[in-house]
Amino acid sequence: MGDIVKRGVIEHAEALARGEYSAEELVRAYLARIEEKEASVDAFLYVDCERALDLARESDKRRADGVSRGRFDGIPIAVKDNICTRSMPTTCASKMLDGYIPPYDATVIERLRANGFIIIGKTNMDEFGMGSSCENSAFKITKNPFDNERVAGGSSGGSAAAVAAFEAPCALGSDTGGSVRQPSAFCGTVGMKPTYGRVSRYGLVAFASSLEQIGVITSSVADNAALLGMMAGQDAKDATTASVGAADFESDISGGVSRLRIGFPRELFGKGISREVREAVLAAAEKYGDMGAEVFEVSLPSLEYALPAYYVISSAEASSNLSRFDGVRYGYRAAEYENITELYLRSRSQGLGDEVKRRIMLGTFALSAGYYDEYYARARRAAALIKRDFERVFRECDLLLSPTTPETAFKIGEKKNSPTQMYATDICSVPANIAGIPALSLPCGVSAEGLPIGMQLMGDSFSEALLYRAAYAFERLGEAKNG
Amino acid sequence: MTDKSREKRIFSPEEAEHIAELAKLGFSESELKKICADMSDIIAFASKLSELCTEGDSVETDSLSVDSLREDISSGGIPKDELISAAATSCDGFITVPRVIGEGES
Repeated sequence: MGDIVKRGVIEHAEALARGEYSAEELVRAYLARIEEKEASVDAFLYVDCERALDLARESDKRRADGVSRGRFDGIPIAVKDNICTRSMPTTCASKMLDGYIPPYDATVIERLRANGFIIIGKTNMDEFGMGSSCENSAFKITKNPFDNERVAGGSSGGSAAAVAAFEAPCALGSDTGGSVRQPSAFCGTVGMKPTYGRVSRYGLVAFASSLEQIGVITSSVADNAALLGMMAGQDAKDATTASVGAADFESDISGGVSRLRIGFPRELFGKGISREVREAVLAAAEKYGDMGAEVFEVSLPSLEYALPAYYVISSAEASSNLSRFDGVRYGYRAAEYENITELYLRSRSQGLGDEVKRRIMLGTFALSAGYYDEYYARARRAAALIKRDFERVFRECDLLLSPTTPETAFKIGEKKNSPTQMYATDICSVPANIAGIPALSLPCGVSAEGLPIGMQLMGDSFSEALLYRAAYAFERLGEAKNG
Repeated sequence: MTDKSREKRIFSPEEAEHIAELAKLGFSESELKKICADMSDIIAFASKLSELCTEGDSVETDSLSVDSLREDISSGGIPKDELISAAATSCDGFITVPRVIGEGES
């Protein structure tokens, strides 16, 4: 049973169907792996041992009785701790929500449970999603499974590390500016940020509502496609979900890339991108060419504004969204206060971490009288230009290929004291959030130090099936080569 | 870009205190010093946006296209007692907070 934790979601589904092992044995195997790896990885904030085993036994009974909830019934999944799970803590890795147990499930959780998935635990993250390294968690720093002195990335670092360390076969993350893709690149996993409106955000604790989407982290492209297909679709509880039809990302996945037009944006291969990363992604571009795709350089000049625009817009939205944490209806309340204003101020000051306070300050500043036009209005203008650039470029090509991150996983503490240095690591990932388009990160090589390198595929809105097809073709190539 | 716009804007403690008050955050003296330094750096980082002209050509807004709104019909929600139980203090089904009306009066 030892190595079953290294199998993917679809492999588990097939093994469960043929009775190779039971859901209970599967969950026990992952719980044992978590027990073994957590001391060095610190991916989880909460592990739901007893209930996961109860649910696994119920799943086995359903399967025996012929009333299974589908092919994934009984498979465990890890969930980022900013996605609400009924009767299970949801802290957003913040002291502000320490001990908070939501009275409802997020829509994605409802859909996972309806398909028989078992939530095995909640994963670590940067507080409220604000960070790129998990160093901003109020509780622990997740370590990169490939090198425990390095970060796992963020903000969904716990989810990516859990999958990379085989503590879970799949995980949910959320991506506001790269928070699914960047940790996936650092940990060698496959991470998808879907089109804005593809997946319901109901039950995702809001950070920057116009930018974020819940995404999937897995060890293979096919697993990722299967999970997203199950979660996607309109939801009456989230008016920004789109009324596109049922999402099938699997049936065309092996269609290949022949005659596909793949552009690589000049702006995402230049200054700040390490030589090793650039060379690995350009080598991948060549492989796409060998497989019959047409690969050429494109330009999106407005991307030079993407980072400042992202940080102004996301912080502005955060300053508004996080005003709900006032110590009154839920979350942390300061022990001492004389009046209601002190209650708000002390609860927020004691409950929120440094990076969250910095972003609230920046957002409040950017929206305040006298500065709104100078910062917020200009950031929205930049966002409009970026969207226009993507629209133009997607008339010339089907997909864009770039690095996911400028460099491989950095050392813990290396960028912690310089917010702007940390922000700069998001250069390749934030444009997709600003434009609302889907983007996927998948491994494309290993650095001299043995660290994973990730490449990013971006497509036009609602082109996830095409992204999966292109990613699958590349992944297969690696398998063929290694095998 | 003018020379003036290239100068680093220093975020003063007075400004920080004003913004903190709006944001309902409090900082100690040493925290305030740090937040001023960080904010000055972040604003310098965002100053690239000053190259973008927002005049003349009306600022494009990329507002979200809300696909559809559901009918405004209430359906089974979360039981009130479950919601109230998340609050730090409550009494008889109400969340309790310090007195608001008449605050400051003896």
